[in-house]
Amino acid sequence: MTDRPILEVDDVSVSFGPVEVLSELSLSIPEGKVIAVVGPNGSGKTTLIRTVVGDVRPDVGVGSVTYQGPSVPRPIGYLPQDATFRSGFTAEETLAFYGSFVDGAEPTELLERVGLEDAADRRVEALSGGMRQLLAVAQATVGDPPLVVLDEPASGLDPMMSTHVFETVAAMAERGATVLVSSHEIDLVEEYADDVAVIASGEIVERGSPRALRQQADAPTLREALMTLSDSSRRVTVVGET
Amino acid sequence: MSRAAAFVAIARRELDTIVRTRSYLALTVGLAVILSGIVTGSDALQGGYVPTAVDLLLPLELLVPTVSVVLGYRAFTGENDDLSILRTYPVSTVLLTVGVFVGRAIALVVILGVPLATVAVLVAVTPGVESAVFVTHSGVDSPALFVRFATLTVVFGVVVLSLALAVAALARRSRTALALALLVFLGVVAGGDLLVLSRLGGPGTTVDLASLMAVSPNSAYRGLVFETVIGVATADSGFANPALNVVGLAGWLAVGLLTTGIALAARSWNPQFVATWKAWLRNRLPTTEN
Repeated sequence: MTDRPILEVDDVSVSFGPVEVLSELSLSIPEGKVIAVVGPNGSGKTTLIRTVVGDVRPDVGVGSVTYQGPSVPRPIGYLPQDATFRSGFTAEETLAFYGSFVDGAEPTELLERVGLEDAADRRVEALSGGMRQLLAVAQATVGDPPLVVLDEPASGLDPMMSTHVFETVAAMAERGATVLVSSHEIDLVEEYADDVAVIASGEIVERGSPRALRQQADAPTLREALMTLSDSSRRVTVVGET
Repeated sequence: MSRAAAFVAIARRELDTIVRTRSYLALTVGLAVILSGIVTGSDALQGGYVPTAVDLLLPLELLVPTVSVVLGYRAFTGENDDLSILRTYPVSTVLLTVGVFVGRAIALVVILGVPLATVAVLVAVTPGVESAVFVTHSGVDSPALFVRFATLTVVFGVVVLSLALAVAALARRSRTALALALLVFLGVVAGGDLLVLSRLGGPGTTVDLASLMAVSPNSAYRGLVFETVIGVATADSGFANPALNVVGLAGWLAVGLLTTGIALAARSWNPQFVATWKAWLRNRLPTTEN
């Protein structure tokens, strides 16, 4: 894989009223890699993710988000933090609906990718939290988008299921997709991410491979490296005026 | 993937959502029971189709907006809100708006149509005045006039549905949607009549009542029923202007769909931009000073 960027976030700011959540943030996402965005709650991870997928537009004036990957019907796949699916529809029907907008998306194959093939006929409201999250991950890959963006895909899942989600993420990258994932699961990020972007107060404050960040902080694990590199204070950072 | 196929997929999902929700089946049955109860409790059935339509007109002015609002006000909130996901597919806001509207409108046609058809059957099997299929002269009762009445009722419902969808698109939370839906319901049910009353109140005011009736959806619907159903049978018309009433309903339909489309598009607008416009609007709203 080359380091050719598939998406460039350049000098982007996003404000919610008086609160500037992203502040002139720049991030290059190299093609074919798993990039993890980590940071404390309220640091701007979700706003960055939503800006990348076009769910939130940056402040007018400066900055841009530019997709530079291949021209396909669905360039970016997206799993939002609070993905919801309609009750009354089975897992297969749910994927078939989204698959109807792009060619060649077979629900059965998508379910197999995440290990949900046995739950194909189960209605979404009867799926467990973990299974629903896997369905959401499968939805993000409908149409084989070159860039898959996942906002905390392992949130609220048990360790086994979280690992399974990250294994699925790794499998996506093996098939050639670029994955941008935000997560608090630092151990899994360390294991599966090629590159880690640390965000704090709306800015990327550190960037590098898990190994490079460990070396930089002289720490045995990424978790400890992040604790060292970031402010170790346990006070919650409040962005903007109070 | 053609736009037509995408449109069908969206409309079909809406229709399937309604079909698979049992409360909507209960709503249809309940409406059939209520309408049947209203007409069997009076002499309307013996009178024929037009007297039955007359008896149903006022209750339907209340019931149709209720059904439409219930059917539409949560179309884009809660578990029905997957706009952020759909935005990553080749689905435009226009396609989404029209697809959701058509899917739910088809469901509305069934939910309103089945009870009205039930009433029509009751009229047909009840001995009374003789009805003619074709209205060849005034004063004749006819199932064709009841079909016209039912069609106007469904059109009225579809117009209110578009307004309910606008509410669902404007609101991000179900609770907000419920509050806004209540406003739309009250506006549709009582707003038009209150407007007419307020304009007629002053001494010496010359108001074109026929034009005023076209302003609100329910008075436009009522005007059309008077002119094209009751008026035909009784040869007593001239209360309303049918052309203006059609324009009024079409206008509300356009307002509903345009608001829905713009509100859905605005969900991805820059939050700072939206906040600026909200502040601008707030500053221009009349303030109450004590």
